[in-house]
Amino acid sequence: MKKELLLEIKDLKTYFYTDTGIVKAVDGINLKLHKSEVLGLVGESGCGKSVASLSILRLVDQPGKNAGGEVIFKGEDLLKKSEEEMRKIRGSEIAMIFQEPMTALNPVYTIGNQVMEAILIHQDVNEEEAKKKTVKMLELVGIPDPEKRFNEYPHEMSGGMRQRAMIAMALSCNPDLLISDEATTALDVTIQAQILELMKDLQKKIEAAILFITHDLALVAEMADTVAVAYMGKIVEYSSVKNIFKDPRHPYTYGLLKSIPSLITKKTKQPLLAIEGMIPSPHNMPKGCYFHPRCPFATDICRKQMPELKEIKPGHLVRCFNPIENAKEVSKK
Amino acid sequence: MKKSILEVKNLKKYFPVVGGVFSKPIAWVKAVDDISFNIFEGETFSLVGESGSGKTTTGKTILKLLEPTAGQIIAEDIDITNYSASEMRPLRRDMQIIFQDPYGSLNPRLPVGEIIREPLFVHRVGNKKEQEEKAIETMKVVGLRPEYLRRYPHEFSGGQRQRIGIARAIVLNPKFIVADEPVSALDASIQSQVLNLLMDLQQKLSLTYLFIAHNLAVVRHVSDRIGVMYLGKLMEIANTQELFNNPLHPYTQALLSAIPIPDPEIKKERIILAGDIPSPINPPSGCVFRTRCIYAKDICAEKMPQLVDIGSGHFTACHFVKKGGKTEFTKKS
Ligand SMILES: Nc1ncnc2c1ncn2[C@@H]1O[C@H](COP(=O)(O)OP(=O)(O)OP(=O)(O)O)[C@@H](O)[C@H]1O
Ligand SMILES: Nc1ncnc2c1ncn2[C@@H]1O[C@H](COP(=O)(O)OP(=O)(O)OP(=O)(O)O)[C@@H](O)[C@H]1O
Ligand code: SF4
Ligand code: SF4
Ligand SMILES: [Mg+2]
Ligand SMILES: [Mg+2]
Repeated sequence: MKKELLLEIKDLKTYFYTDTGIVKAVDGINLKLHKSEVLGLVGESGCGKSVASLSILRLVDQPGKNAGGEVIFKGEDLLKKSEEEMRKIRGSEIAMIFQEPMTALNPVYTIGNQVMEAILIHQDVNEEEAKKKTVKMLELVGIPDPEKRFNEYPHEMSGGMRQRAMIAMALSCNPDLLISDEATTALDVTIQAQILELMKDLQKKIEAAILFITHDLALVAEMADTVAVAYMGKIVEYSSVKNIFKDPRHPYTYGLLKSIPSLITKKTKQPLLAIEGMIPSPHNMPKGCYFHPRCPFATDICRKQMPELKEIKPGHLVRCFNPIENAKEVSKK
Repeated sequence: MKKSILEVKNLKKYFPVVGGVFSKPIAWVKAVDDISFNIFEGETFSLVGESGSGKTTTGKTILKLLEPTAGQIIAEDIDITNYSASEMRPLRRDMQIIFQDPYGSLNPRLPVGEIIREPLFVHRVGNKKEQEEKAIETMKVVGLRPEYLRRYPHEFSGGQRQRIGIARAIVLNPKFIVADEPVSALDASIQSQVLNLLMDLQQKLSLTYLFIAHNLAVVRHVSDRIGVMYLGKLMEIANTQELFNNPLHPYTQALLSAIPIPDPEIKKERIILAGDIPSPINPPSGCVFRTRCIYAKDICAEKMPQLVDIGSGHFTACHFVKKGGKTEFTKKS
């Protein structure tokens, strides 16, 4: 069964025109997200994950600007919409949750009023109904004693509770697409487990698609159906979650997977595989493949030319001249 | 017999909460509340636990960077609990700390060479030329190019700054290092470089570590033994294998089950803890974990469980974990 396409990002570019030069934060990315699918977007700090998500919603601030591409949402290019139309889409058809809930919550209004406000704007209900719905929503996201919590201010809540309140607000308008940018990064693991469980649950109930942004590969494994790996503003690999973990083809993906210790690493107290060096400065990008200064598989062509993102087997795209053929073999070397 | 390099007995560290017109303590934050453990020579002993559980406070108090409220700290048979700053000075050479924040913990106005040389200067080790030579040698050991000697911290990446912090900690050839979240602020690909360096230095310099972290996969990878903290108390201590294969305390069980695994084909049973961590100002009576424990009974509110050895160095603090590791848990009705 072919799923319906919800979002297609084509060659999207967002550049920052700074005093010290142009930062190509998002440098021609392509992504597809189907209805009620979870797409994990992973990569290290500064690779452009947040800017990409803000670009979808057209929320990038100066000195950042769109420098080309399309964001096709339900068949229409968001980049061509008026600001008025965008305002309607944000928070109703597309909702976003962030790492720091205080960026989304207003400190001077109670949690209840903020969720209620969202419901009043996006749903055709009167105040009394909206209030009832709000309490139900707070309950749904696991906030204990929702009637009492309704009257609490954000600063009176713990980090985990604030995150729940933000999710309640984001979901109270039944979005088709939820963008979650490091929504659990600041939380403790037991609270993170609660929130992820909640997101999975709600995702099934309201059938929203999720663009799940994180730097943590383990979370991607938990949450995502498909995965895109980003490096310096470009997607370097894209495939189903199973494929990415079982058969990584891009040397960067491979290195990331091998460098993180996990509960399934067999030998502990042993050196971990490390990706040498560090990410380049956005002001001084290497020629050719951006990863070549750190890549153990680099050849001459890699230093001269940027590889294309190519399909090397059905549903598996890789941006590399020398993709890894057999990850198991490589790991033995 | 393994030799204890450090012994902590019934250690407490309370912080005053001041208020009122006279700025008198109106309450106490029980950051560390009656914990006991040993650290053996040459091992990595780790403290894990969620934010606010008292890990950093423990690390700082045993180095006497904070004054203990009660209890004893014995460093290689010397009771240093009541040592003054000047009495501590000769011992400081042997006991160092690496901080979590590679940005905030280095003096921005000093070039790197000076930052690394400073401890030698403070402890009057060698003349200036010898100190500079030692600084250069140490830079090489931690993988920093000696050419960078005159550069300032802001000119380095996060991973490099963490290396500077490590260089500074090892330049006096200490025996014991408290490493407080040394890789938490780093990206995955850099994290493994720094972990490898720490493990390598431990071998080469016969170091003993108190390693503090909240990432349990990292902790599992580097530790010999692990202590699990919750609300200022130790819930469980065991060697790494034992702790991960046979966690006995209900909190440890929940904590371990919450760790995401970077393999989409492993789906694990999660123990989802309800609610939040209570405030350390007013912790629950009896067992501090009881408000979130799925097995809590009346006795848990009445009586505080003691941390006891249930066999071969595996310690737990739960009323329902018996000698030999037999558990008598029944779910709350
Ligand atoms: N306002 C801005 N001005 C200039 N450069 C910016 C601005 N905002 C972001 N950038 C740059 O754009 C690039 C991508 O940043 P972005 O925040 O998207 O990264 P990220 O992948 O979300 O990282 P993290 O994991 O740290 O959140 C970075 O090089 C960043 O420095
Ligand atoms: N100087 C201080 N004054 C008052 N309270 C403090 C102080 N330092 C720490 N605390 C409190 O003591 C408790 C333990 O803090 P600590 O920093 O030791 O926790 P931690 O386990 O290191 O947490 P994290 O994982 O967030 O670093 C917390 O409730 C904290 O707010
Ligand atoms: S294109 Fe070349 S340098 Fe880039 S990842 Fe592939 S092999 Fe490495
Ligand atoms: S003592 Fe009681 S509340 Fe505490 S961990 Fe054991 S069963 Fe749970
Ligand atoms: Mg970001
Ligand atoms: Mg800490």
